[in-house]
Amino acid sequence: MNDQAEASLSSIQRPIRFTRRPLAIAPDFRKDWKIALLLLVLELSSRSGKSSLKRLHVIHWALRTSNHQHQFEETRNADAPLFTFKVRLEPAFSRAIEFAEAQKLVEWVEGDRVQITELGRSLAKQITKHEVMRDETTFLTRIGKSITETEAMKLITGSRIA
Amino acid sequence: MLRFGTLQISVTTDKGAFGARHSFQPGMNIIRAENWRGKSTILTSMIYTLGLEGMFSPSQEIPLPHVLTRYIDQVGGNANVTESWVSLEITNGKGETATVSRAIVSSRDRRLITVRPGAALTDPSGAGPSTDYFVRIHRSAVSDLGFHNFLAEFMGWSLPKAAQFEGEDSPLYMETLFPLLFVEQKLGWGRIPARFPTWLGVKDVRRRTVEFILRLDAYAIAAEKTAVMAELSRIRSAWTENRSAAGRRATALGTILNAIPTEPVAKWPPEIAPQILIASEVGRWDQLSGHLQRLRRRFSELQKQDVPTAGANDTEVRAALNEAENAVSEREMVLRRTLDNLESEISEADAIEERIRSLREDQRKYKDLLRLRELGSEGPVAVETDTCPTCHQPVSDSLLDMGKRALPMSVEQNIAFYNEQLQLFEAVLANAKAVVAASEAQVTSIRKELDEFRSRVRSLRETLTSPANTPSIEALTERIRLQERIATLEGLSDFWSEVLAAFANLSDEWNSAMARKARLPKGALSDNDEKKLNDLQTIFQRQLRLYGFGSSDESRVTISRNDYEPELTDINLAADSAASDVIRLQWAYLLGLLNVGVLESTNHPGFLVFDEPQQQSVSDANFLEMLRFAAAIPRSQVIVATSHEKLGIAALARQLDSVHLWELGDDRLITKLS
Repeated sequence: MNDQAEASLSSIQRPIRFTRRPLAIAPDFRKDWKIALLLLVLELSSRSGKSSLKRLHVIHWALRTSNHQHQFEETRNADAPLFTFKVRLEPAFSRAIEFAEAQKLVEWVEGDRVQITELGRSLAKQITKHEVMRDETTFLTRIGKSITETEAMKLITGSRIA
Repeated sequence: MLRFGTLQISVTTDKGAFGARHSFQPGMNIIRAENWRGKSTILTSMIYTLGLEGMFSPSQEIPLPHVLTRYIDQVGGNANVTESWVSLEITNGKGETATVSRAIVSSRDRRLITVRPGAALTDPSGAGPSTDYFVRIHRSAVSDLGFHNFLAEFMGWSLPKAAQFEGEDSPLYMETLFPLLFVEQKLGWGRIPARFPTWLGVKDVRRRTVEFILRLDAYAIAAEKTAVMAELSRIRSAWTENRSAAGRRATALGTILNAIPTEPVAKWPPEIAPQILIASEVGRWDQLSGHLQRLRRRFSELQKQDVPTAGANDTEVRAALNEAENAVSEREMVLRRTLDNLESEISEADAIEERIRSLREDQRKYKDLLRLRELGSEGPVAVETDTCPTCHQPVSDSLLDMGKRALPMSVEQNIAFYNEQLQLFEAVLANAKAVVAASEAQVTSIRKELDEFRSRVRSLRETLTSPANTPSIEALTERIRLQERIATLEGLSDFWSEVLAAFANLSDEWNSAMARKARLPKGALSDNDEKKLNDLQTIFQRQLRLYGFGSSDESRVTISRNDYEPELTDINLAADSAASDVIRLQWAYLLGLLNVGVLESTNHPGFLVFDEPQQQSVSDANFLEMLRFAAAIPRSQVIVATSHEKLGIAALARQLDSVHLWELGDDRLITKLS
């Protein structure tokens, strides 16, 4: 540091303090948002509120943004090549599942399947009843429970052959 | 005001004429009878006469029992109904009486209601000529021939507009107001304050009706608010429309608009005067007026000169041709460069738009998230976000691994942050769009110049090859070109003055709309409203005490300033009260409305009809107390039908002067007329 800089720093009378400012984060990474998505997928788009982990990831990825929703539906209706919709397994979603499980909103069954609990279901019901997350519920209601485990696998591997 | 006078039910059967007739008095009217004698028939037929059965349901069926529609049980076989009618005398606040008749079974259309001025039942000779009105069909609430329009006018009501769930505003239908004045026996009880018809699609029906009945200013304030908002948004969209129409026309002529505010402004012209700019040479923008002046000057100079002949100045023409050809190739280069720029500017604007779209989506998600958390705090399930559900240590409200020290914003902070971002990006987008528009204008103007130079090259060449003594083609075309250009720009200039005048008008309108907005009171209620609601609350609480309200301390039951319904500090009264207390609340509320209604300046018509109010085993003592309270309300008419034990009612009627008892006893309502 040269002398001039030194001099001007020491001329500041107050001690210098640094404050850590909070960071903005995308709503997708809020815990309750992701958990709500998980519950909605299980409640609206899974048979008896139960699904494999990979299937959950596929639907979650399709649900994430309106663009994804669009691409997913195009791919499903075979209007677009299978690679239009690229599935990513998002770690944040896996973390959300763990949090949801710890809060007894979902539970692991049959080794590798996630099932919604009564508690989780009552929360999901409240969300749909009060028409919160309308875009998401509309999408999930539209695709319904029709996505099979096989289809989910196809979407992950990007191949049309199971 | 509205008073009921004589009611007459006439039934013609194959076994002769039947009927019933009763005259209601001002004050308290009690119809007492055992069950199945036809008390409800009396009251329902009054509603039917007034064409108000729509307050019960959307059905077009007759809401009356079979004695009026099919057959009357008689000893020795049924008497089949061939025709039936019901007529009712009504009197308004000015003392005018009218007689209203409606067919039940008849060859006549049931949607017609006949009105005769005067008391045609009690004094037929004094009654005037009859007029037919219609009910229960489209527009019957607003048309001059609609009965409800007549009835509203008769009662001195001017029905305000009410917002609908779908489509345009409708009048506040009579069917939505009468539940506060008439409680039907089967479905009317047990809802506080009343059971409103939902099928009419009136938004906020509970608030709007009480506001109207008590003539609260809140109604006018809310209406004014809506009107002002609608006006502001109309001006805003006219402004945008005007702005973009002007922009389109300007760009098409190779000019750009500058400094027109994107949002309406109250001060016109604004500090920086809006102007229209024209590309005179590449890269330079001139004011339209100055440019036009220069063109005119040049044109008049040319006019003064004779048109030179083709051979007059051969060398000059050659030099000019050379210059023009150079200019063509230079302009072509500039055009290519400008087009390249334009392309990158457009893709930049697209990128910004994409960014705004995703910000909007995130913002929407955050709003949902807020609602989600509200639900969590109200409802039985909340998602833990700040502590670990397993070890109960504080954790960050984020699913990202943000490192130990980084702290995410709170949801509210995050929403504010997104709002700022959106504002910023929208400003950037507006700028990018302006840049695109300017480039587009430049492209148009370069193309125009290019055309001009090309045609100049052509005419110069023609001049060189044409016979020497003919007029110079180049000199002629320049004149024509100039003239055309001047005409086009003059057209634009006129258009521009119109645009400016339109903006000045809109700005004026904006100004007065903003002034109206500033005049609106801060809250939803005026001082007068507060007084009425306070009085209602006092009367309401006094009654609860009288009627033995038991669910809670009655002084804690207040009238909500939001929706004017009874509330018990944050508790849902209807769910939390005993069934009999719900009935007490309903009595107290509707009688409270009537009481405030007759004492203060309101729209309350001053009558109330209760069909079998002793519901849910409210005790006899409470019931008689209610009748006593109702009988004491001055300048009112209360009609109560009850099957309460005969002696108790008779005793009450003897005690109170204002009570008029109609004891049907064991008799049927509809009897054979001799």
